[in-house]
Amino acid sequence: MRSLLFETRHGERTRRWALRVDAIVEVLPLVEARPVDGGPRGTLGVFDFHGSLTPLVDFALAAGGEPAARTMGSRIVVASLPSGIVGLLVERVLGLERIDFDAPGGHSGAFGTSEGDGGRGLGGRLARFEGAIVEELRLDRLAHEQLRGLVGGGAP
Amino acid sequence: MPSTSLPLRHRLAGRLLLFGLVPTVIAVIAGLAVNGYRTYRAAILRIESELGQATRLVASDFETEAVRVSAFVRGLALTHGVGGLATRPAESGAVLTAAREVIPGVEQLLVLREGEAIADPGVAAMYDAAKRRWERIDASRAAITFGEIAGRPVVAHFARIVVQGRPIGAVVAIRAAAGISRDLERASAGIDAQLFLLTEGAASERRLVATNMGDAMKGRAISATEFAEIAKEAAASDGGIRVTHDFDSAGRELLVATVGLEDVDWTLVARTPVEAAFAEAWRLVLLNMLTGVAGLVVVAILLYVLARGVSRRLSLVVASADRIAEGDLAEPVPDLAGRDEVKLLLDSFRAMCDSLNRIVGQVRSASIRINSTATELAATSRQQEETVAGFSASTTQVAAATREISTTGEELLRTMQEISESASGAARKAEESRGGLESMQEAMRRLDEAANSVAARLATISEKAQGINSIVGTITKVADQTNLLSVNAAIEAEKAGEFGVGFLVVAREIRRLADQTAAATFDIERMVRQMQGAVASGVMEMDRFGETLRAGAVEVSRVGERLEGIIGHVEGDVARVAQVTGGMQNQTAGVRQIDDAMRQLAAGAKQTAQAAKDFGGAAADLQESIAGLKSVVAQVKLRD
Repeated sequence: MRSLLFETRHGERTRRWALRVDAIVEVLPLVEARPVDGGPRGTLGVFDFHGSLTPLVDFALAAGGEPAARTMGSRIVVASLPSGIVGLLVERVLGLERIDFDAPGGHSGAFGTSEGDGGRGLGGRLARFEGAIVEELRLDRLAHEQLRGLVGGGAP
Repeated sequence: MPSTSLPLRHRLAGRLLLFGLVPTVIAVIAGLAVNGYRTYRAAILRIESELGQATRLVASDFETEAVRVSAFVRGLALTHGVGGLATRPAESGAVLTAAREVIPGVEQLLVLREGEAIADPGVAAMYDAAKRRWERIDASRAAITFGEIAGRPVVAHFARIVVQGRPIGAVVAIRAAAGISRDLERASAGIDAQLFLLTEGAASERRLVATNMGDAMKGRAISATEFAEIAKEAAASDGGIRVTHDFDSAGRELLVATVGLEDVDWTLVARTPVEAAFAEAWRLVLLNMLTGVAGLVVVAILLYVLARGVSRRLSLVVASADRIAEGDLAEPVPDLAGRDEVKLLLDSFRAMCDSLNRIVGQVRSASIRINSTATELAATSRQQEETVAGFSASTTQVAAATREISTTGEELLRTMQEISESASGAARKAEESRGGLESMQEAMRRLDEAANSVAARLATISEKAQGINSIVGTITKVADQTNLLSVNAAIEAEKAGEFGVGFLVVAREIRRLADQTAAATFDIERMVRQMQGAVASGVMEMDRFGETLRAGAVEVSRVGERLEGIIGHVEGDVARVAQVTGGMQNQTAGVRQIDDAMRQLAAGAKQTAQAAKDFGGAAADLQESIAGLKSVVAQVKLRD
């Protein structure tokens, strides 16, 4: 199974993230979200995705980095969560790649697991790809309840 | 009259008075002083001698009287013997009566016997004094003594009675001292002196027997009176006559004559103040002085009258001389009466004035004639001189001017030739410049057009670039969409598993193409942006260039116009310069000829001018001399 690779900026450095394709519903161009109160860190508001209100999160902020720049290349990755779908604002999508997290030399990524721990909690296992370290994005660690609270529990 | 305005000391009268009267006055005063002194001395000598003689006379008179009384007493003594008078009182009375006739003022006649007491102490004292005298001098002679009886001063004449060579007594006749004084007064009636008859003895013992100063002092010791110094004089007497000068108690100078009496040792002192002698001398001097002053006044008046007369006559001469000195010969010299040197002088003046009148009249008429001639001469010479000077100056000026002109002309000619060449060169250069300018204008015009077309093209490029931009935007959007589509397609293909593998490859390829397109469009966009910036700055540059070109074209055309004018002028100038140069050449040659001629003329004029100047100088000298003569003569007034 391939994963969608994208980057977040953290000052001078960047982090690469990998999201398994089966978790992705669709990749959208940049849309404007309607701001709402509440939600976890990085929450920008909600937007209309094929008729259903979907929360939009700035993934870079949620991962503890800097806010994502909004350019023509910015994308919204609509991902499915157990509790529903969520839009992740990503500054730059690198492509679809096959990342083997189970390969020897990898890392369990068993650092802090608690939420709010600098966003590190979103990272899972680590793998090496084309000379760079890629982190497995653990969507299940997003604050589902809060997100669901934003859209009133209307899951697809 | 000038002489009357002189101060007196300069006038004749003043001189005469000064040189005649003042020495006379000095001589008179000196003579008066000498005379006065001599008179004074003579008066003193005379008074001394008079006093001495008078005193001697008085003394002699007094002595004669005393000797007569003494002789009478001695006669009595010889006749009557001792006791005669006393024993025969009746006879005694007769004797006394007789004695009274002989001796004026006799009061008592007494016979004193040797050994008998004398009742009256005053008589006794006097008898003692007589006896002392007899012992001292000569017992045969009568002794006269002074004393007092009952407080009255008396004089006693003692004669010794000698019987058989032995003195037995004496006869004494007693007189009041007043009688002596009367004798003295009688004797001294002719002299103006104070007389004092003093007894013998030391200065303090002497007593005043008689005086003509009154009775108050009689009988008193002289030392007790105010005439104490007389006693000293008397003491100094040696018996003969002696005249001395002394001062009284009041400090006045006195003449004192002392004479000792022979039969008594008394001294007669006569004294008179020198003042009397001085007053006499002063009287004399005063008299002399009055006489002298009167004489002097008379002399002065006479001198003044004489001087005044002479002065008045001289003043006439002076007035005439003054008039002549002022040059007034018209007034006749006055005549004077009398015959003296002043009249002779005035006559000489008259003759001189007449001669002067004649001579000066001749000189005047001659000077008038000479003057007119000299004036004409001077005027002529001056005219001549001026003319020649003017001529000379003109020739000199002309010569200088021609020389200058010649030099200048040559220089000018050279300059003109240079100018001609320069002008020709300038004309050529200007012509060339005009050609250059025209081609430059043409080039600028073309450049402007080109610049305009470049600007237009740049504007077109800018528009096109705008079009490219919009196209690039569209392409970018398409590429982006394509990219998105390919991503989603790849996702869907992945999700399709085995079935989607081929599609996945296609999607990836599409995505790569889209990415390349995006990169290319980005490059294009960047390049277009740069191009647009360049075009914009190019447009701006072209605008500026165009403006500069246009301004340059305006300037060039203005320069061209000016150059046109200059060329016109220069061309005209070249023609004219050529004409002038030709004229100048001719002129220079002419000027050179004139210069030579002027040189010769100037030399001649200089000689003529010198001659005229000499002549003029001589004429001026003559005129000046005549003017001097005329002014001198004009000052003289002549009889018409």
